[in-house]
Amino acid sequence: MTGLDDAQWALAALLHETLPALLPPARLAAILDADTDEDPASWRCLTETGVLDLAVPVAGGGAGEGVLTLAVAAEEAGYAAVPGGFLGHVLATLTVDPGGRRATVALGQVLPDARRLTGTVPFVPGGHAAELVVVATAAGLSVVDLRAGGALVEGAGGVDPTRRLGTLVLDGAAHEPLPGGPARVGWLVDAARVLLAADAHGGARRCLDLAVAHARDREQFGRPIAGFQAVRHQLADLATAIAPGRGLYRLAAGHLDSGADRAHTAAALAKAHLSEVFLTAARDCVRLHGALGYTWDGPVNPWVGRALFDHALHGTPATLRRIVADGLGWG
Amino acid sequence: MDDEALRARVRAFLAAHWSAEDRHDPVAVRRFRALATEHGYLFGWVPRELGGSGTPGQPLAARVIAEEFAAVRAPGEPDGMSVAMLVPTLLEWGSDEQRRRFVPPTLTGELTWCQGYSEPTAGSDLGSLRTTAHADGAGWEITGTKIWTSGATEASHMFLLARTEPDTTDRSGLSYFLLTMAQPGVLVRPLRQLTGQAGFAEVTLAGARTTELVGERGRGWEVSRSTLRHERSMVGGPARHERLFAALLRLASTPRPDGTTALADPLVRDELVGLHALVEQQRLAGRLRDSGDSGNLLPLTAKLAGTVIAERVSALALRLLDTDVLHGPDRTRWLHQWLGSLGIAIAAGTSNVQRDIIAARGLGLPS
Ligand SMILES: Cc1cc2nc3c(=O)[nH]c(=O)nc-3n(C[C@H](O)[C@H](O)[C@H](O)COP(=O)(O)OP(=O)(O)OC[C@H]3O[C@@H](n4cnc5c(N)ncnc54)[C@H](O)[C@@H]3O)c2cc1C
Repeated sequence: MTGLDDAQWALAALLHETLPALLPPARLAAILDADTDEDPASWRCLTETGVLDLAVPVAGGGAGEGVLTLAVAAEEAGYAAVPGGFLGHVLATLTVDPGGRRATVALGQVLPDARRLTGTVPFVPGGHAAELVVVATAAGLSVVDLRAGGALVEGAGGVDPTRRLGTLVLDGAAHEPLPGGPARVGWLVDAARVLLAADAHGGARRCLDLAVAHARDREQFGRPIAGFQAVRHQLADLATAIAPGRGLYRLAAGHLDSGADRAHTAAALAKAHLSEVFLTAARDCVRLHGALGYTWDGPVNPWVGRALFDHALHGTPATLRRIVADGLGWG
Repeated sequence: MDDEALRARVRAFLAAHWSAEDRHDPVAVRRFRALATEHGYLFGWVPRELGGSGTPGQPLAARVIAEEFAAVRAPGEPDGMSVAMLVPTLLEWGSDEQRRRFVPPTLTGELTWCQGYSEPTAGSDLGSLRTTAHADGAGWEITGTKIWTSGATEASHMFLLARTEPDTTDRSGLSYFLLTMAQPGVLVRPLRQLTGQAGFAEVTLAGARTTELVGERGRGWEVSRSTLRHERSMVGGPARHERLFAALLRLASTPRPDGTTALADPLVRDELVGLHALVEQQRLAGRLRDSGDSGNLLPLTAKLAGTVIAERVSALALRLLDTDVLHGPDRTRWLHQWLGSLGIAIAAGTSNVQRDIIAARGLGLPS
């Protein structure tokens, strides 16, 4: 259930090859200070490789893929620190065909069901660029057109300058309910957790690769710091924490795609663990870079913000572990 | 005087001359420090003629005084780079003329200092630094790049290491200098830290001039060791940990939207008590050290122990912040501490370098 088919392998390899090259350190550093997290080059790549339409139904011109395929892409997006609205957009495509428009999800708050929606939803990713937003109401998922009045996304900021968060403000907004009822809300939150877990795993892998490359390059005391046993052991420990991680998010993704009950617990477990490993990896990577790692414009900063984002959005590890313990029936 | 009598006297002094509301008023703070120095409560280790109170030799008394001052938030000796690091170095190595010129205005805060040690290619391996100082008839001309220099944008002066013996590549060819920041040969480019704030800078020295060589030419490494010793005990300072822990406890005690507090969570309580032990132990270790009851090993462990505390506080704070993390460091101040704990693990000798020092000098292990 955690294995990939040939097409998924090919997708991962393609993204691994193309995305990091489009996002060199100088480009990422510029995005941290830019007015927007939009990055035309990587977005074009995601469009042209079909990643943004992976989950769109075949009838709508998409590939009709599920959470697992998206998660494979999300891992590579995490590796490359893809900026902008990727996460929100692909999550939306799991439930609605956006018909070529930019979309996102606002799942941080379940709104009271009504003919017209009123309320605020915090922590909406990529909302400033979206035209459609999938919201959660007591009756289930619903689509709001951000161009139709009564709905707007305010602000774009937060802990991860590469993926800015806004607040959705609804004031009597019209909406179009989606099928599936309240259960579908929980399913989409679980999918969000799986994609965040995949992003975290990719980000942690990148932190390890950055730290290894720096250890080879940086010379102190007349030799690369990779030659010091303490550094080698720290890198080996980090590798040990990261290497086995992929299975957790892949299993959860597979359960979501097959509609298995275990999906909820598996998604919480995957995100709790992998986001925590990512935080450890980001901190270790900073330490191994010395003061360069502690510098805003330095090579590690984009992944520090992303690790905090993956940690806190849609449930911190502490919250998710309670869900797991309950789900496993531990009273 | 015994502890309790001293304590009572300090309390009476504070009650008469200090009110905590004044702590943000720089003029009042300066006036209070001058008065406290006159009474012998501050800068006992600095001779009277250099602006101190010249009552040395009583570390235990100094601790009692520091505790009483902290209890009413009275300003004690500033723990920044200038007073805690440069002044002891000048007392140990400076010429009479240098002490007279630089110590008194540093104690009052008129002169402020930054530390120009690290360079792009010389961090942990400080001894390999490349900035050169060249003697000409009128003094020294200094050329090179210093980096990650804390407080360089505000400092009036820099103390630095530069290579005076051109045919050396190691610590043996270095000398220790003081220089004025406000001169054409000094270019400061602020660098932001992970918190987003410009705490340090790159300082280009393009023929910067000075006449102030401290200690003998070629003995800069030895001179700088006394600065570093003071820096390490400063970073590991117990008062800092106590303040940090108190703030963490307040965070844990803040009611959440559902009315409960994190303090009621057994896991959080457990970690808090574990941290309390670490902080308490560091405080008491300071006393052991002052009373000469600690040996060589304990002081060498202070910086790494402080780093461990800062990192564990960070981890617990992150848990307590829950989704407030998403607001980022501009709106969630605790994230500064979380990020800052990484700076602590790197600045003033990384944790690996501390481990090397403990192993070699503390445990006497062969390399
Ligand atoms: C917040 C902050 C403030 C600072 N302020 C100042 C300042 O005011 N003035 C100043 O001069 N400098 C300052 N510095 C710089 C600081 O002194 C250096 O960052 C530090 O000495 C480490 O050097 P580096 O950053 O070049 O890391 P490197 O020396 O390149 O180290 C990189 C990694 O390799 C490891 N490593 C290196 N050598 C060994 C070894 N032999 N064995 C095992 N591991 C090793 C380190 O532990 C680290 O993890 C500051 C740094 C920070 C983060």
